[in-house]
Amino acid sequence: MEREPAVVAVTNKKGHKSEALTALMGAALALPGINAQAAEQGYRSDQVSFGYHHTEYKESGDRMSVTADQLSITVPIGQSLETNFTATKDVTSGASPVVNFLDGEGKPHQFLETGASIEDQRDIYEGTLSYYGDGSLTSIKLGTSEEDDYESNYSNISVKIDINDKLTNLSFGYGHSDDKVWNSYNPNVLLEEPSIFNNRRKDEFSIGIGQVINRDTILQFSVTYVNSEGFLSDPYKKSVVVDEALIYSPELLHFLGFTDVSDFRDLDNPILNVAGLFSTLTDLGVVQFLNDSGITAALNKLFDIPEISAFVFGLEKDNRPESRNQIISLLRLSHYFESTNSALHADYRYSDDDWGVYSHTMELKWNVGLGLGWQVSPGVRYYTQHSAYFYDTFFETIPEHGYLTSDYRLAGFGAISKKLEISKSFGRDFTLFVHYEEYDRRYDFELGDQTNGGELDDYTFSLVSVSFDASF
Amino acid sequence: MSNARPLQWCHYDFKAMGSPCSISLYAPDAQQGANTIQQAVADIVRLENKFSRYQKNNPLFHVNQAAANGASIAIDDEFRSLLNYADTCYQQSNGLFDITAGALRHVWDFSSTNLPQQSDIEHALENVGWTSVTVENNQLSFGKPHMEIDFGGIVKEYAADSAANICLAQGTRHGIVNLGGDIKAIGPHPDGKPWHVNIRDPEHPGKHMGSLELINEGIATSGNYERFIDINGKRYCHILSPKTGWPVTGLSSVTVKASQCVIAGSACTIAMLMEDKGPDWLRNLGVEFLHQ
Repeated sequence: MEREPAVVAVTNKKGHKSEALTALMGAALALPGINAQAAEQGYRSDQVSFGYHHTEYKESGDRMSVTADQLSITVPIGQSLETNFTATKDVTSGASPVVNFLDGEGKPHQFLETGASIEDQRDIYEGTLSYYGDGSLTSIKLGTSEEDDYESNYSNISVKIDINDKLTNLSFGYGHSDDKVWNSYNPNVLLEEPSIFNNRRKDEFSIGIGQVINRDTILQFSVTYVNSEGFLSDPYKKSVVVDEALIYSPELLHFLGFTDVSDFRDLDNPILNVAGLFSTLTDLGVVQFLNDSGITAALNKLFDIPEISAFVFGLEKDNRPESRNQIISLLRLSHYFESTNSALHADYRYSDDDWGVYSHTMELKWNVGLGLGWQVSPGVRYYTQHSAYFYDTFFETIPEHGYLTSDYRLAGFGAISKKLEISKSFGRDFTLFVHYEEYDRRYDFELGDQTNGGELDDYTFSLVSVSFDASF
Repeated sequence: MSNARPLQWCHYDFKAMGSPCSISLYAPDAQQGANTIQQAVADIVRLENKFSRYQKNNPLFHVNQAAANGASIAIDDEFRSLLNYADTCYQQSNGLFDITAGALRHVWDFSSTNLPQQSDIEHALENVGWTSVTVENNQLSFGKPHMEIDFGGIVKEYAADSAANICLAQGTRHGIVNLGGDIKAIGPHPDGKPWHVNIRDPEHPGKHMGSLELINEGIATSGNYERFIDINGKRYCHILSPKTGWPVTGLSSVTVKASQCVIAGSACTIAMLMEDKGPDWLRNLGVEFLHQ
């Protein structure tokens, strides 16, 4: 028989399935390599994997340093479930700013926590259950975090759904936390406040969309709304209010023989230099001696030292509104460069709240694969923040709304961080990561008009983190 | 947000099942891509070792020993489901697709230039017949001796589907597995465009006889150009009819697209066996195809 000479292309696009095709499909789907169960496994790994992370964080000067260790284990269950348990222990030592005393000219000077040696341990335990559906991932997380003066119990649920042939993903999340906050009271330490116990509560809603633009580019956008209610102040922090300080009062100054007493800053008298006095006492070791010898403890039994010092020096407790509403939006563009086997991530984050704190964050990160399992990721981040409406380094008088804080985290400032992450994979199941970061915070790095803030809160920190992941 | 990152194109060429093969996919990074490909290739090698006719002491070898003796043998679930699939092909092709046609291979030597004797062919045909084979639970029994099973048109195609499923299970959403022309796609390209596969024209090297677009689908090609004997200018194809014992005529090449590569593979083999009625049969089946 002669071969058909011409090329004939015949297609059937009616989409109709014949009985024969239905029969073949049924038999094919019964094959173990093809069955739907395998297809539904999704992204789930079928290996048990362990991770260990160690982080060292150190701020400049005598501020905080943190050492953190984290252990995690991920165990698959059946075809589409996975559990993860993480235990983290971090130890914070050093000091955090408590109060800004004024010098004789009315300039604030910062004093860090006066405790002898502060060491706070925090223990965090988290469990996550994830379900990998066909084109979806649902996770439920429960966690608890405990430290000497803080306890948090939290939960969240998140759902990620792939649509549009997996070119688009949608994510939804809800988180809730119930926190207890108090201050650990050490009567041996000067100016420590007796304990108070309070609660705060946080609810968080997020929605996001990720879109594959083309083979090399992905765009992501998310919006998060956070509502916090309850005691949102810092039980350790205080602000100086000039009008409330006995030592700066015109009556006292007059009594002491000063004639023109309209403003203590014009008097140039060393007695009024509380900051200088306090730093001299600290430098000479007097404060340390009072604490160590038990004199502070004895005095604490006789008088309410914080109350008296608050009265004399005008120290007011940190006092913030009992409600905070934040909106955070994030735009992320990721682009892969085939020629250099690298990926660039560009993030822009805008956050705004009803405390007047709004911020912009811009971050660039470049992941470069060098081959042989090496990956290097340099990155740079700029952050700028507008101060809260009730923030100042010190106050002339208590604001009409009654709220006040000198917490550096609510000041106006800008910060630049430089990061470098290096990872090396050994085989397929073991990866080592080293992360280094340098952070420089300055009040005059703020974008646009300077808002309340001061150079006394300028600081830098460096962070080194080493971790590994292993799969078995 | 998720950790969606730009995807990296990973490609690996290898040789398996007597053919040049390749796996290409988009992965979050080269390491993950390589891990996925490694697992997919391991499965292809596993199937080759299990079902190759050219290896001794593998499961197919033991089954064919039982077939030669008209005996019984225990088989595993995967073997049983492949026999079940072959049974469906036999039913749907009115007995033309018969994996026991392997017995005819003994008389047809595609490396020689001589045609076999008609008496030898008729003798060999007596050893062909799927109806003499029974599968009960996981026990395979041959009702007569000198039989032989040949999984041509099924195993390589099934391996492509299975490898693609392994990639999918490892998180791959965009990729393509090509086992010597038996192709199975995983999703579309990341930009949503289908995979574009050009089908070579066996008659005119360097030219295409057409192209097919794939999203998640498989294609397979069957043709007389793969293995044949050329005697006095007449090409005798390696696809043997279980009815006549002779190589099929009529079509020189058929390419079929279906939801699974194994369906495409058996459909194009059946079309070749149907000879001139092949195109009509494919049209009634409801699949896209190209033929020559």
